[in-house]
Amino acid sequence: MKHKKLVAWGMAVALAASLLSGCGKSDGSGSAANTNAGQSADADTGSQDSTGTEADAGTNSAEDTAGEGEKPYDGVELTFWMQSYGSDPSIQRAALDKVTADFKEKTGITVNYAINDWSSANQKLTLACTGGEAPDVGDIFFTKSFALMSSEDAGLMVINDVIEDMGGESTWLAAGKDEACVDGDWYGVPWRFDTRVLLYNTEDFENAGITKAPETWDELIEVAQKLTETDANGNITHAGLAWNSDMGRYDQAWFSMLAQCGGTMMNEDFTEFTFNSEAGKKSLQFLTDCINKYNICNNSLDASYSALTEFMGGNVSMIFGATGENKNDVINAAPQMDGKVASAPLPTATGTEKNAIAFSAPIGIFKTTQNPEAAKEWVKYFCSEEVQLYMSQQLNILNSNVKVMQDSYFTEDEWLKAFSETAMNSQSGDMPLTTWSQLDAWPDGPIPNMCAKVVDGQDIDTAIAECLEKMEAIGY
Amino acid sequence: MERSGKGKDVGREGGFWDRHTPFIMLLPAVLAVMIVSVYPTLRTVGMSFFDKSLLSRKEPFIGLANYAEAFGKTELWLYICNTLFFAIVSLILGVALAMYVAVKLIKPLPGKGFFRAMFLTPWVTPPLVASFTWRILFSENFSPINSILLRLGWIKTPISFLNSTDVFLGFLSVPLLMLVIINVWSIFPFLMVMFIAGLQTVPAELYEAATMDGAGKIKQFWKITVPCIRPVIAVSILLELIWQFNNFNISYMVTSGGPLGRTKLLAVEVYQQAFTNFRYGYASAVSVIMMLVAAIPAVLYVRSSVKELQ
Amino acid sequence: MKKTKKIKKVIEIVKHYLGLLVVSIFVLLPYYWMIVTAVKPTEEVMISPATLLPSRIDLSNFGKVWNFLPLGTYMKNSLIVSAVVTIVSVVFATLCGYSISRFIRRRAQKGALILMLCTQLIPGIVTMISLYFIMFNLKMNNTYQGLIIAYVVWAVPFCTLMIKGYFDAAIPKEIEESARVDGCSQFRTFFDICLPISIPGIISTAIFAFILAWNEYMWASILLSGDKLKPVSVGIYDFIGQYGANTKMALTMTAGIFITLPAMIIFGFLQKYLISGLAAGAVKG
Repeated sequence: MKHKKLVAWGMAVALAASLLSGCGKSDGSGSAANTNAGQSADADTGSQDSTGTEADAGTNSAEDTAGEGEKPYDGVELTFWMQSYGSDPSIQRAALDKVTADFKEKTGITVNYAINDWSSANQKLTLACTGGEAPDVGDIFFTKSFALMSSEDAGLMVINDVIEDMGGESTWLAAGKDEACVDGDWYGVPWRFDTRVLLYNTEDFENAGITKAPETWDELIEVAQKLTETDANGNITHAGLAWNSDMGRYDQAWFSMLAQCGGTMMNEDFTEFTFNSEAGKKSLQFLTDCINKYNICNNSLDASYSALTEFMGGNVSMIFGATGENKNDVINAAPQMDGKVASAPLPTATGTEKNAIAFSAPIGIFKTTQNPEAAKEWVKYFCSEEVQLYMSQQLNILNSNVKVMQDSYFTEDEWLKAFSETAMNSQSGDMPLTTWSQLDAWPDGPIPNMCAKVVDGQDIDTAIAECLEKMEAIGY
Repeated sequence: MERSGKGKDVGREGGFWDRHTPFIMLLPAVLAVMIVSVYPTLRTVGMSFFDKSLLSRKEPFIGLANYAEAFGKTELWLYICNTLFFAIVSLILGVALAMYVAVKLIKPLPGKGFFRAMFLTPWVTPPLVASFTWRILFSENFSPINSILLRLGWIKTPISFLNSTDVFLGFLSVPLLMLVIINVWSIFPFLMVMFIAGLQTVPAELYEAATMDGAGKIKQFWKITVPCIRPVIAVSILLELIWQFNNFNISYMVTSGGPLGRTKLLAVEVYQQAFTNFRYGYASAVSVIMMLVAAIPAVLYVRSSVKELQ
Repeated sequence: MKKTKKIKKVIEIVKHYLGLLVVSIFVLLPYYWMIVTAVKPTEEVMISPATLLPSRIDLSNFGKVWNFLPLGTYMKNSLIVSAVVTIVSVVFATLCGYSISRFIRRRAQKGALILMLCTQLIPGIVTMISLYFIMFNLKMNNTYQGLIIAYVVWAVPFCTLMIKGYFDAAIPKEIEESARVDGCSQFRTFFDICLPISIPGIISTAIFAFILAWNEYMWASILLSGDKLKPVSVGIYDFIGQYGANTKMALTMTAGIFITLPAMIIFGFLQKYLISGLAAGAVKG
């Protein structure tokens, strides 16, 4: 009997051991497969530690400019938090490995980066600003919220001097200042930029005899009606249009619609909400009409619904509100779509209004840092033109830096052209309010909730009134 | 230290250390639980009387205002109904399925070990993995379930399992039922293990005698099996009921409470208030309400366990 | 007479396996879809309505997924954390459970038992807000310790009750009493006499603790930043993009297979010990 138990223990240990070695083995073979795959061969992220990874310098990237001169920050270590971007995390790691290695060579500062997933990003940054764990430098959004949350000894640092050193506010698109600058003080250096376009399936367009992307809402409806197929009961079997809403999140699409009929979220001083207006109602009406009246767009309250995967599956011809990385997302996950993906600026109510909303996000320094000067060096380096162009290319994101956006990479690329056009004709998406992250919290913040309720059939006036009431209760 | 002289407690002689060994043996576990579980809970209860939020530096004492706010919201009642329905129905279905399987897997037929091992897998599948997969299984256009039903001709258009916002009885929606199915899948292995273990202790002679007397299968189940393993059933049901009241993973990971709060459970509401809105005071109040909702089965559980001892 | 009995028996067996088959389909459905999605050639994954089987087997995802997320690191983290949690909580629970089982008439032991029963009832979410700040002030965020301490404490009450039940039912007091008469100390009696024969109970307790730590999601996602210490239970959130979309269905499913498989195999083999340990007494709670 005792023997049997010993055997049991032995087996458990053996299993655990074989499991460990098994992991090791498959890890190795994973790396081997990677080199074969070729697509991101320079990214040796099969191995665990991010240090010591050498990225090939084959890509166009920031070259070392500094000589062998003294390195005043030798031995300093910084932590840098960033959210995940791009369609392949290993590319982001490789890019950061390269940029941090170059920076270390130049200054002697070691930057230890951590990539946080989006599902916990807001929570982590809020804790960082209010006395929880904080990095030295971080990739921020909702800057005003975070700036106002910050206290004497925690939170975001004012870095006007860095902005001056980098050429003042004209270095970045206006959206960059809107996001990073609060009452004349800069809390971060703008880097990524984000705007929304219409993504469409060129093959579907050809088959339906459509020659150009719609430019007004009427055209959008007309085109979508041509592309939509329904069964005998009127259920959509192939939708002409999809709001880029995952899990019933309509707020982002609606912000663009509001801009497209000349409406604004708030007044100019950001003291009052102004969407209880003709434009506000018109845009909400349009949001729900496309689903409930014209029957050209699926109701996507379903948590399993994702516009992008529907597009990949060939169930949808146009996505309203696609982002820069979406093309690669589609082609990587559904190679059969290669060559069929195109972009155009979003249509507007009459063709003359703003096309979409835009977001800019800054890199900020936290007051808790032990090495503010070194942190500033890193921010300046990371936000420099060369590095930003390199990062934009690697991560498929747009940039807030005017010169970077003027690069031929953005202006001549068929896919990105629509983005650079929209960037010049857009309005801010995030409101600079302390409580914005709550007002726009998904799924039950007042704004997403209002949009979802309207789509679900609630009367628009009531929905707006309820939303305003809830926002009042939260405060802004 | 001993209350009664009755019984032969081992260990009264010996030196100081020897005498106090039983007490010392308690310490690591008890202290750990006190510090990491009891203390934070008391702090949370305390916090529920304050307007504590990450976004404001002031933390005024506001008495029961958080509770008043919570009960004033119609949503909270929806979440309470959701939680009760989710916990109770998934428990009933889970127990039924687990019992059905356990009774089969106690029989000495070939494949017993294989099936037991297979049915255990949902338990060791991280909830995130299970939730992602179930979400696809319940999607409209990428679900194999829909593919099969379409192919069989049972349906003409794919079903979207998680889409409907229509409610019955004021709260019950189709997506919530889908979450119950997922939850049954994930909780029944634990119940099955408990039941099999319990069934193994039932002496086979009882069944033989019953068969001699001509009792049918169903009668045997109710007259012999259930009474014999009643303690196991009671403990498993009560524990599982409490755990399911506190269930967070399925609702958060599969639907995030959507569409429009139809599948939101109390634990998710607490999480979102605390870690999305950073309203710790209010979140604490909701979590205290949550504890109170779970208190009825909880008190039953503690009482029955204590009674059994005496 | 004999023939009908035989036929009856055959029908019985058919019914037996038919029932198990239906349950198996329900249980295996997600795994079937994980595997099918993972081995489909990429261009077949995003087809709707979904095809039920791949046209050919394409194993490239199994190599690719290791580059997409540091699965090796995540596995290592999960194993370390779960193993330590298992060991520590089994030690705590065994000591405590033994003491409660043998000295239940004393006040401290009674109190400990009620404490263990009551803490079962505290929702995990209730403690997390306070616990985060406690851990942060102790500089234990982003450490294995921070995870381990919390998991141990969540595992200990149930484990204690299990192991106490085992001692109550499966280990006769008489053995110890004779050892005491022979002059063994309390601890010796426990360690040398009682412990070796209670291994089946300890194994089943250990399995519970391990699974709890292996599956936990919420605390890990709050306490950890970056991906150096992330366990697998949180790891595949990496596939979720900025706006909540997950376009990498096939890779997610592949990662899911890698994450589930080890635990599945281990516990497939261990289920016998889990059940026998429970059956010998631990189920009485």
